Amino acid sequence: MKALSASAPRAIARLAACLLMIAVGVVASLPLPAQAHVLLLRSDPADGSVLKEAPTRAVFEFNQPLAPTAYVILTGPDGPLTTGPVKVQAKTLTLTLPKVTDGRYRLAYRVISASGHPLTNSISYVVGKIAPRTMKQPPRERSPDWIAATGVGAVVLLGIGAGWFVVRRKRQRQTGSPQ
Amino acid sequence: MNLKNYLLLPIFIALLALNGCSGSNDSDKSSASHNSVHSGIKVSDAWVAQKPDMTGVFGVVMNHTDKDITITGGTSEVATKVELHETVAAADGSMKMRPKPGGFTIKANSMHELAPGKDHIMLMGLSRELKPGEQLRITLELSNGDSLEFTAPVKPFTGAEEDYDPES
Amino acid sequence: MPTRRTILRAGVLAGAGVAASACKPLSPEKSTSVIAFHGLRQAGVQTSPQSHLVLLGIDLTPKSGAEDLGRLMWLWSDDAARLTSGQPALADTEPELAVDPANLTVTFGIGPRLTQLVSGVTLDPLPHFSTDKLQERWGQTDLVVQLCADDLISLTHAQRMLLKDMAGLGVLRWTQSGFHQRTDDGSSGRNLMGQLDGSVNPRNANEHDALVWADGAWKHGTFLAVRRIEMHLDTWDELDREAREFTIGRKLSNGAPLSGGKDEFADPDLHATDKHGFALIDPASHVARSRSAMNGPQFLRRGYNYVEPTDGTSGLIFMAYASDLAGQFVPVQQRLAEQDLLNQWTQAIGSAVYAIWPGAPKGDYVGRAQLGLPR
Repeated sequence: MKALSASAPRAIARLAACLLMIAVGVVASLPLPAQAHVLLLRSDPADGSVLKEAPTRAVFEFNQPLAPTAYVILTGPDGPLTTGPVKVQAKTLTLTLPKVTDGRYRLAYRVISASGHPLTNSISYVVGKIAPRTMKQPPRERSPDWIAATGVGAVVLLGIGAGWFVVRRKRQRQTGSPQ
Repeated sequence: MNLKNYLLLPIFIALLALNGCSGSNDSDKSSASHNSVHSGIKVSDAWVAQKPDMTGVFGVVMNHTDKDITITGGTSEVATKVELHETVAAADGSMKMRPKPGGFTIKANSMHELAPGKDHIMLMGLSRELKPGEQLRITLELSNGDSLEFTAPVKPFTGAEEDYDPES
Repeated sequence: MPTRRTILRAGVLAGAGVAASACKPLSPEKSTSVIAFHGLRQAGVQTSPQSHLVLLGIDLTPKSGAEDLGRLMWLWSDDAARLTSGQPALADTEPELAVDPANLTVTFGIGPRLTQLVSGVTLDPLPHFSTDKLQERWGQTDLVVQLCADDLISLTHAQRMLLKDMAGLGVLRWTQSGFHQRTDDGSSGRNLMGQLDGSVNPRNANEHDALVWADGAWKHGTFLAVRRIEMHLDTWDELDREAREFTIGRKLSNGAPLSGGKDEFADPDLHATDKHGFALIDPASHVARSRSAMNGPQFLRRGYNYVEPTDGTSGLIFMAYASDLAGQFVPVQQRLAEQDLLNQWTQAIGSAVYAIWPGAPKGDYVGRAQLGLPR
């Protein structure tokens, strides 16, 4: 009885360890939908980082090998900026960045895993001692009237375009169907 | 097609009959073949089997006159002799072809089919190898003294290998 | 005395196998109908795709010339004219199989070698495309016969009749059998990748006249590129829906472009972007890459799916009809060979081009006039 009582806690511990291992095994072998997808593991600059000086290049590392087709869009306080060409090697995407002034930057990326899954997302970072608020100000001073006029003009143009499109579709449909 | 369609089919057929909606278009059918009308007698859908030495001519002979007409013989540019054959069951059970005594009589306003295993025209002693797709000119002699000329395409054909029994 | 033939004719009548078009409304669901063989242009091109395809690649026997080809075309045209109208062929040993043509069409064409027999017409082979992995067994032949029908009895009977009739004149090199999903609502049929295939096709007579039918020495003829495209469905299956739609540039459900629109016929907007500024239709997607500078169709696509029974491979028998393959089809194929996300799951394994004869009027046969042969 003594022997039994002494070994009981050990047996329970062993059983628990076994069960834990089984559970881990089951979970690990379950098909995880996320694993089929390509994910960003880390980037340099990191998302949300504040940098003293403008980075000269960006590196993205993903969890899967990438297809050669990849795109980036760098947007700064004054709008889109031209970057160097995108280089894809295995799971890594690299590009050179232009010299930029202080401010908040957004680097959007679209990659496709070698198996064919696309991923579109972005990272943001701040260069220099720029308060986040300054970013919300319009990059240039613009007259509100001018903006309004542009908006109205665009809406009118869109309307005309859409109308023409609808009429054209209708005519195309009426011209007759293939025999 | 579901069951409903099958049930509707007889009605459909009846409607077709009532409407006179006939799909039969003879002009389409013989569009590319060369046939001939003469003295109210016509050969349509004619063809010649591509065989060495001797071969059969088949088709449909139509007599559009009010009198019976008999085909008594014929000639062809590629045959030394043209015979009119019938196919009959021999004593041993096999099908044999032999010259039909008196030729083929086509009743007034009726048709007579010339087909493998039935009555047909034989081109005997072919002077050369027949080419597939070539058009042969054949002339038939009729009991009323007229002759009937038509052309028939040569077609590759492996069917109806009846024995020829010239002695019967 | 009724002969077998007259009985057969009666059967044709009763079976309504060749119901004239005026009778069609009586039986809208029945596929049984006749598509005329004779005409200015051959049937089977502008014809709405039937359910089944058999494509025959045939070589003319050595030393054959225009006269031999003419005799073959006579035999084939006569077979086709009869069988498409629900009549047995001459020397037809199974006439009962011809009663229901089920929209049978038989379309004849010649390869680059035989176009030399026709003055004023040249047909260049397609250039090499970097993505091609062509197999000799699906290669160029002297002749092509496209048989299409909505019923396999009608189709296989016609196929057999034509093959019997080329004895001594032609040698069969390959047979490509395929199937097409017929739709009632005017939408395109689906291919085995689940896509609606053929959304960008000429839709009316004017577009067909402009894009498909040739002029000049080959007036009322057309040109055909046959591409046998194997699909790698095992790896395609591993993609989720979003990835598949991204690859194509269209929604799988209704074929609408990813830039928006209610159906497959909506014009893709290659400039529409997402919140990041990337194109909604990826520039490397199939839709973006196959699209020319000008919107709209460039040629007629007549695609049939295949499953190879011997090894289970499957894909698409892609047939492009154009009045000028070099000007209309080749640039599109070149762009796709340069880049197309879909290339990862597709592989051209067969390729051939043909000049599709102009049609023959009633009483004539296909190819006679072009070969300069007497009636």
